[in-house]
Amino acid sequence: MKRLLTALLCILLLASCSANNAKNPVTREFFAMDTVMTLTIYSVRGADRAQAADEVVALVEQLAEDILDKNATTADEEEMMRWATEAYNLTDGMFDVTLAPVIRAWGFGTGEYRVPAADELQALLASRNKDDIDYGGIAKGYASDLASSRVLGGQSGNSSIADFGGNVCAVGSRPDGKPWRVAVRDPLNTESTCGTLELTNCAAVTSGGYQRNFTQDGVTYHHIIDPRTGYPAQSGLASVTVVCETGALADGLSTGLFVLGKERALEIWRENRDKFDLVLIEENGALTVTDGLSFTSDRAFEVAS
Amino acid sequence: MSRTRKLATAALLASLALVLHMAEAALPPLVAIPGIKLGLANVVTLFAMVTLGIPCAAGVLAARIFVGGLLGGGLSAMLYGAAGGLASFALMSLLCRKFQRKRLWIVSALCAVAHNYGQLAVAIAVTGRAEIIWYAPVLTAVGIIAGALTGVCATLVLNRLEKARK
Amino acid sequence: MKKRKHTLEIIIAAVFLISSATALVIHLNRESRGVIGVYRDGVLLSTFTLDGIEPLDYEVVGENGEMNLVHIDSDGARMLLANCPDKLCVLHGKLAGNEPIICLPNRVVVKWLSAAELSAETASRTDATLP
Repeated sequence: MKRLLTALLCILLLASCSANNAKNPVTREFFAMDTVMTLTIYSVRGADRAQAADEVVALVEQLAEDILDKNATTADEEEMMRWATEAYNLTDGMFDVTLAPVIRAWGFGTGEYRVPAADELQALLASRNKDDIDYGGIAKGYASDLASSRVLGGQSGNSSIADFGGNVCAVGSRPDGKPWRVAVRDPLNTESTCGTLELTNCAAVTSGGYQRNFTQDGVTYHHIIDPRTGYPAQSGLASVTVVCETGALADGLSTGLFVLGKERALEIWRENRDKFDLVLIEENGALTVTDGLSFTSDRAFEVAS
Repeated sequence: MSRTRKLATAALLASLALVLHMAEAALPPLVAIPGIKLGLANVVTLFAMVTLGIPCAAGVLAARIFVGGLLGGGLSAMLYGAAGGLASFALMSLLCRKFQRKRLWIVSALCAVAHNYGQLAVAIAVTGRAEIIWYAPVLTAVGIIAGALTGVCATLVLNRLEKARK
Repeated sequence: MKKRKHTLEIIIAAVFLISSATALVIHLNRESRGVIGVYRDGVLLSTFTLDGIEPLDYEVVGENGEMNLVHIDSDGARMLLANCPDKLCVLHGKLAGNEPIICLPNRVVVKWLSAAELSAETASRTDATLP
């Protein structure tokens, strides 16, 4: 009897050992680029997961530092500029990293919110140049690309999901083989979500006015500035979610397409279907999803093709 | 009563209970809730308990549930029947002796409610959803009515039988 | 002898009245509560937000051939078809109040979901949420 029990106990222990790996990921939460970032690593082929997590944290913190110091290595800067330019081109110029002074004038970044005068904005818009660039609109996306290409991804069987301050990076699939389930927030009711995306090996980014704004004299001003006017964009959209293989591009596109509005965003998508997909939520709550996405929701939505 | 007589009576009662059970099952359902019926067969169970005693009555009930399940409804019917039957029977055994013949309807009403609650418990366990418990008010009300009716029936039968013997 | 207390009878009568009244209130409350959930074996299969929904028939199929067809429109839900032996779920009619529509043989439950329940169900199945 004793032997039987010991044998059973051994089997149980062994079983729990292997189960542990699959079920318990290595998670890490850290602060960088002014925001909270989280990593959830289930498996990284040929590497120790905790070590991989450390590498990602180090990588991102270093990038953040370099950007702040205006000291980004040439390679990083070139890459970021490359994606920023592509996003600029794909969004009729609505994603513009040279908008930095305009965004600052509103107080986004410093926290000293104010409504700039019209002529001040005109002057700032006119004096945009490549020496005063803020990669803020693309940095987190780029960080997620670095993390996935250098550490987390690149091999089949790797499985992790990370959130770089709102830039979700899905590496591989869930450990059970099914796609990662990423929920899209409801911009009209930010406590709830309005649908779930199924993602494998890609990045997802959402831009919306509700994410950062201030109210003055009863009017709410958000942080996504329309380069044509210098004022927060009023395109009829409440949020844009871009799903793309490259986080940096997703980051830039989500901002630029938000400014452009639903019709133009869908037009651009139709011309670039293989590059990205969209979830658009209008100010009236209407939900539109492009046909390349696997999206489920308990409310009605339109599929754009 | 001699043992042979008891056995024979029990067998008769069991078949009677079964017939009533099957007849009732053939009728359209009373309410859209599983297991809610008049429970005419329970008249027999109660009668058996009063005249033959608890052990025999248990046998009558068990036979009815088992064969009833075999003849229609299958394993799940047997399961639900057993759950409700057990709860109801337990209560019946406790209360039966304490009430006069005239007030047997009280025993029956309470047992019918117990039967329904037993089925409710099984339903919650099977579906895994606790909100089924919201059926409790309906089950209580219907149970009281049906139980009272079958209890009155049992009383009438017992009275008739007594008269017939005299 | 004639002054026997009828306490027990009174209690039973009271219980009966209260439970019938409660049952009526529950069963007659057919107001829409916004979100419906369909479960099998206690596991949520799908949710439906009724606001602006087009009427649809949701089919629930089980491993052993169980089949239930739930009709959902902007008013609520009811069981259209089921291959269970008793069809009590179909007889239930429209979903009412806290009382779910249950198909016991097929272990299917259709019920209203509160906002809290909906969040909890969604959260437990989500790996990440975009901000």
